[in-house]
Amino acid sequence: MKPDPFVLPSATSARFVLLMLTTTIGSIMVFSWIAGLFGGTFRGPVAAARVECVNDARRQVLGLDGAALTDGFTGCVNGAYRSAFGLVAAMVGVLLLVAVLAYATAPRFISREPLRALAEMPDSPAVRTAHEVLAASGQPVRVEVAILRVTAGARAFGRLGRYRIMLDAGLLAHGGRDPRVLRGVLSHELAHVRNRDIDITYLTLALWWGFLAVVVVPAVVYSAVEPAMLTQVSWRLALFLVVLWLTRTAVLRSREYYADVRAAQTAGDTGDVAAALQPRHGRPRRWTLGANHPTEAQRLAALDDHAVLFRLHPGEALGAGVLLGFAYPLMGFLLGTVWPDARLYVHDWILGLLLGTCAAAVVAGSAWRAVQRALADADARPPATWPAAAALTGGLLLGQLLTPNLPEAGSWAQVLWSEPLVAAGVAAVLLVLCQVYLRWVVRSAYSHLRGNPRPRGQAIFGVLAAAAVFGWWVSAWLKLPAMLVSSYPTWQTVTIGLGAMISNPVLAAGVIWACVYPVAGLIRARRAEIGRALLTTGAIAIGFTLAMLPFQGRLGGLLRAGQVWPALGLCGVVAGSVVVACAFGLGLWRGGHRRTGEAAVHAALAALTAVPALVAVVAAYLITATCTTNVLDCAARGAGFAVQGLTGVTMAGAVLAVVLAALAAMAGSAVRAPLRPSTPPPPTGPRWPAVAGLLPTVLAVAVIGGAGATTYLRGTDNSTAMSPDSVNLLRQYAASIRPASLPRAVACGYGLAAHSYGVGLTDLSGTTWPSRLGVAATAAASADDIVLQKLGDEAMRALLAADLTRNHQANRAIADYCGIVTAAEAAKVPADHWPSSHNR
Amino acid sequence: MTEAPPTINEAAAAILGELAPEELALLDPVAAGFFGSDSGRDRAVRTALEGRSGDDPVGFDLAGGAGLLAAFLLTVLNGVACDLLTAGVSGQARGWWERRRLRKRLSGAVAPQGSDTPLPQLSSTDAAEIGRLALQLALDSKVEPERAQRVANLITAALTGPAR
Repeated sequence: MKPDPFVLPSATSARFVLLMLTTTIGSIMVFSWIAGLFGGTFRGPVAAARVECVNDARRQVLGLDGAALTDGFTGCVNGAYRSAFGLVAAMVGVLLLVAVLAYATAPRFISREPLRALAEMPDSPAVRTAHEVLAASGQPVRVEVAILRVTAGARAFGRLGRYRIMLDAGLLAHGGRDPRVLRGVLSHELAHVRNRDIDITYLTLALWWGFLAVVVVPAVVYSAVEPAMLTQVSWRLALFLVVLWLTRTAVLRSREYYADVRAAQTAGDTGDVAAALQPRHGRPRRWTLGANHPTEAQRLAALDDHAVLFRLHPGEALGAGVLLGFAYPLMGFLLGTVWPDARLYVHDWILGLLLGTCAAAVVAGSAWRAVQRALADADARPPATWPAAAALTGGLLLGQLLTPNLPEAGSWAQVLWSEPLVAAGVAAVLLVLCQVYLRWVVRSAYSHLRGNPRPRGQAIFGVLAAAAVFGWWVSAWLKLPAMLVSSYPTWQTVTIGLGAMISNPVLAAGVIWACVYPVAGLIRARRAEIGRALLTTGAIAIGFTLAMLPFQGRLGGLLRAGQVWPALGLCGVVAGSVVVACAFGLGLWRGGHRRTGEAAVHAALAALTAVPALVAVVAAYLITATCTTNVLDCAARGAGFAVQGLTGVTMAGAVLAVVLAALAAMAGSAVRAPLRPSTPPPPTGPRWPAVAGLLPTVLAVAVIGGAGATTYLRGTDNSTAMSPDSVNLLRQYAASIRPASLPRAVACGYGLAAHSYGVGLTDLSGTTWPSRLGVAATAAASADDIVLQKLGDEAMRALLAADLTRNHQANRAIADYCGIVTAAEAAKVPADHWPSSHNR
Repeated sequence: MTEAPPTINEAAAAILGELAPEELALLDPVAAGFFGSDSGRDRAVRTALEGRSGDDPVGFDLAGGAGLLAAFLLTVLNGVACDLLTAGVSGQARGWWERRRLRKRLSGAVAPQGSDTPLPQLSSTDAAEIGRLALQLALDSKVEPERAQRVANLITAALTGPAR
């Protein structure tokens, strides 16, 4: 049975929105360069303002203390950045204004030729046919005839609900000989109007033309003044234009298929549209990738079989990935400039929601449609996700390669140039995440579409929720390269970065949602087996308690030797083994052919529910292993440690347990499939027992969510007291300060490592953050530059007072000072702009 | 007594009557637009000689090119009336650049009395050469070969004066 292409929303709206968003953000790359926010030879007005900040600091340094100098210099540089940002915002505003004007004037531009209303045309069979088609459609569209167009074409245009269709006089003439052709073409254009293609298409085109006029032309002109732009920006801009063009034409071609199918659906058969698409005399188009329309043969094939409207195509995923990978660091850089003091991850959540959501809506929307087709056609195979996952990964990485190096917004490309093997590892992580994500989207779609008589609302909600989940986790992945280049990309820093990802509470919320959402679909379809999932939860909890018994002595030994992390690792390995065993058993028991996804969903739910119980058992074992005398008092203290120390472990455990359980259940199901075919599950009766059965999961989610939020808030609280070891370490660094003993370039290298890029400083790899901050402050305070000395002193004072906000501000001032001085000296800014000997 | 040579409009109507009677109703509005404005003529000449309306987004371009013979006939006959399409120019319509220049000349010229301008009566040799040029232009604008040949023959006939 053929599925109806218009039951679920098409994914093309998200593609259009992503295109428009990326076009706008792409302009920021050029505008920021012109405004002097990054790159360039440091001659722009904003760059000069920042040079003046350095000059002011050097003039005033002897009369100010470190705190006042830091405040004054930071305020001055921030002001310069803000004015640069204002300039960029104004230029983006001009781009948008030009685009809006182009959109508003497009109808006038298109209709600037002799037109005559259809009603005023001399009566003829063709005119009567056109009137019949219009009357049958019932759409209030103005139809005009371009009386001097010899060709047999037509086009829809207009704006904001006032749409027009222009028919070539050649089409009317052709319609006189073959009315089916005229009917087909006119129905196709009416379908464009009904599919709401006009506004979004012309807005996208207007933005494209605006981009060429307001961004590309100035960039080319500016390249003549600043040849460095050619190597830093122009080639990226050229590649970006190619990607934009190909993505735009691809989405326009998709809309053509939809219009053809809509036209055929309205007419009741495909005859008229097929007649209009029949190959005629003339050379066929050879290269179709850059064309706005598919070939006639492709369109005829799509009319016959709608598969093209229900596919998860790697090309779409590639385009979405490139645009996301390119736009993300640029927006991150701007957001960091405007809002430098946001909490950890807050920028990423905003960007993930904004950009990642659009990209994912493209992919998730297509995945839901692919599932719709698979459900409608019993013979159709479940949609394959590997090609799209690989394309999405490749696109994201390619987009990162296109992004210029930006301060404080590291990209995968920087990791690639420094450590190709580490970059490959990070890319592999992304590939796995993309594949897991797409499998989850497909699973969710199956859960919610099967047997659903009104799937449209569910699909819209499902796609939006899936898009938000993707946006948040992809932002967590994009944070990983930024973290890596802030110290040095090694396998150890990759591990730390991945660990930090787990402490991201929004990501944890995404994992929880990933478990619960497909189950909700199964409950709706009465296919949920919550009881069996809870049974597995119990088996995991009891199994882990028993499995730890033989290891109790070893655990005590490790704890008494002060090896807390190996002890926790031992618990983790045992817990992971039990989870895998139980989930495998569940897959073997309830899985089988076409039931693998359901088994994986139930196993993930079971593991998620078991996590608090596992943590409680771990805490109990840790307490009993360490408390041999005075047990009650010791247990009370131990419980406090467990609550504080195990919150991060809870987060990590929840994520790992869910992933392991799903994979193990899939393995169990795969083993069962060839042995014994599964039977569909019987209806599980009323829904309320299944919903009530979710209560333990809800409690588990509350515990995990609470633990995650606590960990995040504590981890990002800048006034947290430091451990005595850290304080001792910092005192040692403070004592080692020797003013004027370190060349400025070296001090800057370490200063930047604490705040921004430290790639190349391998001696910092693997060090803890207090150590890195201490090194940065010590190096700056020991520099042979008096401004740096005072800024370094201020950074060290703030560290010793455990005031990380103040330390961050001083470090930022050090990074800005070093960046400006280095760039100005490299650019050989004239002496009157750069009185470097003035205050030495 | 010699018969008056046909005007552009009369010749076009005669040819359409033979080849595309359904277009007769369109001839007057098309002629009014063609001779009424420079931009309209430019549009007509361009689409007549290219045979495609382009790759408009949210548009539909019927594969196979020119559907309206009237504008093509007006383009050719106006060119003849303005002495732009004369014997010896056929070589100038080969190649992209030559066709572009010819298109510019054809859209820039207008017969003195518009559609009522009488067509010159040529020798059969010269008329045949213009017919070959018309055939080439029609094929370039993707008119079906058989139809293009008939158009060329009828244009040749319309331009051929009485034997002297």
